[in-house]
Amino acid sequence: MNSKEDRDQAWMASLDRQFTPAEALEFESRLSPAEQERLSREYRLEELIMERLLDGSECPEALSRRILLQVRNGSSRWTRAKKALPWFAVAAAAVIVVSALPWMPTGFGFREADSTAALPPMAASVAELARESQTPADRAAVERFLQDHGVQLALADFNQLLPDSGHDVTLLGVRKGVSNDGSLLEILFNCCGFPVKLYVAPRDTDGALRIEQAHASGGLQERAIVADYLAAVAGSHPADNLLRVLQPVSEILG
Amino acid sequence: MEEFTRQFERYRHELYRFAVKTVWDRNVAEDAFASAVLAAWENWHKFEQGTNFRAWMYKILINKCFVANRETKRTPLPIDDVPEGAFASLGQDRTYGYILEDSERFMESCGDEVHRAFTKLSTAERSCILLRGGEKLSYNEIAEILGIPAGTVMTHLARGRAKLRTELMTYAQNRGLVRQKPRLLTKPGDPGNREQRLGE
Repeated sequence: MNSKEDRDQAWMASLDRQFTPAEALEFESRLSPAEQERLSREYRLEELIMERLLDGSECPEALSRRILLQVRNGSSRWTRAKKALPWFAVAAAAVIVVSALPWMPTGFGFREADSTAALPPMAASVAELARESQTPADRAAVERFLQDHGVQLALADFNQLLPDSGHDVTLLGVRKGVSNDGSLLEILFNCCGFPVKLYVAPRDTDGALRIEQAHASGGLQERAIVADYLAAVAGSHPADNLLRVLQPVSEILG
Repeated sequence: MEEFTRQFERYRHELYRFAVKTVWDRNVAEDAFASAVLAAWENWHKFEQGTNFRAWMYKILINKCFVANRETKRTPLPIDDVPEGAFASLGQDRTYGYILEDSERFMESCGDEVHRAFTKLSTAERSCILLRGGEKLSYNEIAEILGIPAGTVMTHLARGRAKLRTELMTYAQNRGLVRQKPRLLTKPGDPGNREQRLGE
């Protein structure tokens, strides 16, 4: 320990218990009684600070269960995907052939495939979903956005509506979805820590057609007719009864 | 799957604790934590069985935490740049000396101040302090997880501690928990110099 810098580093290493017992003994033997006392007080302060910093931050059981559920779901999806891989390859080849037909010299009179595809994938996290919002995360702003886009629906407070649902629902905002006629809107939620969307579109529009297509392919949870609109819930977390936030729900289609 | 679940159960509390103390917002922290576990599961086939799951998991989690802090555009609250050696020079500060003399009582008076002061540290400083003080990892283990030299780990620790203690000292002075000017000055090392105790 020749320089002050070496000495400071040794002090830090001692405080962090990085020395072997022999090294610690040697270091402490070079300290004056006052320095030894200060070091022991530093140990104590460090312990107290860490105790304070770390208290009350255990992983909640519910969160833990949800994550493991996602892992299992992901696992079974992957297993299914692996089993389906050969079929997928055949289907992909078929799609390529069919798409190429209109450009073949002989032609078979096929028209170009409709560009309406499934709904876009869900955000990976609540934070990501929140960033997609085009409004602040408050009910009045979301309702104003809905009305500005021709959707005459109000939102109920889900946690007040169904206080015993076991779900903790927070509104994140709203955004315009992807559809040919601009009719699809997406209301964004945090449900128990998971990103969840509520799709809404006036009936008989391209937005409603997309909801139907996504539902038919198994990409949605429940859907419902709400007044003149078709609505559906999307997300990996089963957000039971979330449709009831849009009132009145006249008919649950399942 | 069983082995992954077993490892997750074993380390989930410390990993969660790390996330919520490193990321500014609890919701974002929980997202980062969940996302890290899912990413770990997706890459489970790449994990070499028998090697250090904890370190592997921390690497994934820390990456998610850094990204989360960057995406939410949160930067440490301003503290004047802390020079290297600041932690060592605290030893000369009289107020700090008073805090050390009765740290139990001081910490009782602090309430949530430690948490608030901790948010002023950079993500790297918080990571190093949590991995060292909370999880008792060695400098080399922290260096491996963060992908930085062990000397840089020491620098982050020293600066982080200096900032944290400086914040606590300022708090103590502002709240009158310690007196800035001692009533009785004696020569250094003299037990009589402990006149200015906390809460006097």
